[in-house]
Amino acid sequence: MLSQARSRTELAFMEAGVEQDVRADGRRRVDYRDISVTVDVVPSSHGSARVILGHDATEVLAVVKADLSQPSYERARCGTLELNVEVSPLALLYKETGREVEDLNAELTTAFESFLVESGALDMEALCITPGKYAWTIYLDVIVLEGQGNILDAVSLAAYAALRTAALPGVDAISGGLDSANNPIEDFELSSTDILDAKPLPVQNLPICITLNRIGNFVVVDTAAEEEAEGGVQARLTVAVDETGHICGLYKGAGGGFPVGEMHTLAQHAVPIAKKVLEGLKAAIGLTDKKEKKGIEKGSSKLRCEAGTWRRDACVGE
Amino acid sequence: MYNCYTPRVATKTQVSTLQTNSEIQAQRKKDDTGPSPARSESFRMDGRAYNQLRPVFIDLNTASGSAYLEMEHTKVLVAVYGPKARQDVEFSDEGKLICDFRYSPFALRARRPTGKEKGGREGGREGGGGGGGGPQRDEERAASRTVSQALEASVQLAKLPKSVVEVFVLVLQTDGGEVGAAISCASLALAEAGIELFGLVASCEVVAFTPSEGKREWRVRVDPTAAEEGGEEGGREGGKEGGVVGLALMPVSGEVTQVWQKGRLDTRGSERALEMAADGARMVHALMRKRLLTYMEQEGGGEGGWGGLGEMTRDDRAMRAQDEKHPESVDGDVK
Repeated sequence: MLSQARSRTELAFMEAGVEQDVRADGRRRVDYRDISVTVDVVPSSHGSARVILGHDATEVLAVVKADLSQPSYERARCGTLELNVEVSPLALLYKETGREVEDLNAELTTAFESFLVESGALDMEALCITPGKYAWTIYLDVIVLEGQGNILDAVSLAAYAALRTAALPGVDAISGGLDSANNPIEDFELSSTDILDAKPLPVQNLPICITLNRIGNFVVVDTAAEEEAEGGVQARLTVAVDETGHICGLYKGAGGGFPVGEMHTLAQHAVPIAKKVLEGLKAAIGLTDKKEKKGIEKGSSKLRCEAGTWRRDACVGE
Repeated sequence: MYNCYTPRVATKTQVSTLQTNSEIQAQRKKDDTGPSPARSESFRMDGRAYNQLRPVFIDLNTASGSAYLEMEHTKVLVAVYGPKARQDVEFSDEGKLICDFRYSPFALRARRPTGKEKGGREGGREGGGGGGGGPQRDEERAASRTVSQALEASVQLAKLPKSVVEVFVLVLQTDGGEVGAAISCASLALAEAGIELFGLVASCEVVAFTPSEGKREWRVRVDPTAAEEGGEEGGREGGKEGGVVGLALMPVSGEVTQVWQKGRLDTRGSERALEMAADGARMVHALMRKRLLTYMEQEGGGEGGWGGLGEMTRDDRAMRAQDEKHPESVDGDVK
């Protein structure tokens, strides 16, 4: 997406390397760069996460803030999700024009929004406190601080971590009785003021994105900035996979094409990769299948992940 | 000229049953979990079979470089300008394709503001351009990208250095499938404008759903209306299984140039949906090709590109003859 021009020789070199399963930085086609996840980086928010791919190559910050609002008439029993993905000017190195930046932001937002919303991962009805009166609006703001390749995947990982570790204060609806003007009382109160009693967001089966890039006749994941140069990647398919291995969304970028007979195998190719990435991500933010962590994690957990293997860093809780 | 306010009603297409290859059919008989083509209870709200497109009307007899496509209640108008000189860079090896996708204010259920109302932002974007009506909304920008990426592979951009081709899409009415219709219509408009192409790009959407969660039986409907997309059959509320898959295909090279999916599908559902979307796109392509050939014949020389090529080439005539000999292999009948 953010790319610079490369000479034909460089592109040919890259293609030849991909054919032999050796990319410019030595990775195989299916290898991700090191992924580092830190949660709770913005203490003033309800949830946040920062994901860094590679050696400070791509850095994304996702922040969840919740606010109370009145639900709309048609959807009186539902809360809302407002998503915004933006590329910060810090990340723009190649003097994209204003219009291009707006287009890029719009593209990232709509692509990711369709995965998140259409997958039904966030239970909107559980966000409602009093039908027609009070409901939570979840604002998910994702900012790309560094964009050296594979932005959309990083966005999805950061959003996943932020949504999964976000916590809202418990709220009880009160109804019944009349107030001084003889109107029925519809109000709410906090169940508890203890921050540790905060409830996690009603998300399940949240998807992450795996972007498959076609270089020559092969497919690579997690492209670095030099691989995303103009003319490097012929076609790009982003597959959103949820925790059960279902495909929640497809999004295609870049101008080229994929052979029609192989569309299905291609999409399925992303599923085991997503599974591995998800496993590591969940371990990194302290969520395992056995017991789900309730409430806010004190401090943060930093996990350095090698391609394919995940180990816990020594600096947990710093 | 027939304008969009008094459109000619499309006649019902006669679509033969999908020509699936024998391997797939044999496997289905073994599996017995897919819907069989002859199942009568899979008729839809408008009486179509599961693998039947809506009636298609294509009009090319308009200003040079434009096309109008109607799929029952989805109406799309596309105009192509160019190739013209590129203003943004001094030199480029290859041409660039830009797309501007807009909904007209009356296209959707709720009227969209035109941007000229008091308190609205300044209308128009830099450099002006067709369509008008305020800055693009996010979904229009996203759709612009979808359409331009779908078409990029079909245009011989290497033959257009230092040039830009602008495609303006205006959705007049939408009842589901407008992005797909825009892609097909834009491809026709490019052909009509005489821009050199590798082939036509045709697009089709399908909606896939399971009648009950967990069961592996997937039902797929080709070319859904808005009601079918978003209704119970869409099955996307609350994480149930089901979704919409759209695909743009260039049959000449056998490449999928654009694909999108909204909703959850498992392996089997995804496979069926992609397969049927590709078949649907082939059906649309056959209709587009037929209409373009008829138009070429009628127009003789005509403006833009086709000048001098009033006569069909020998290959086209041979293709035509073959189509006439085997009418069942060409799907659809456009008047």
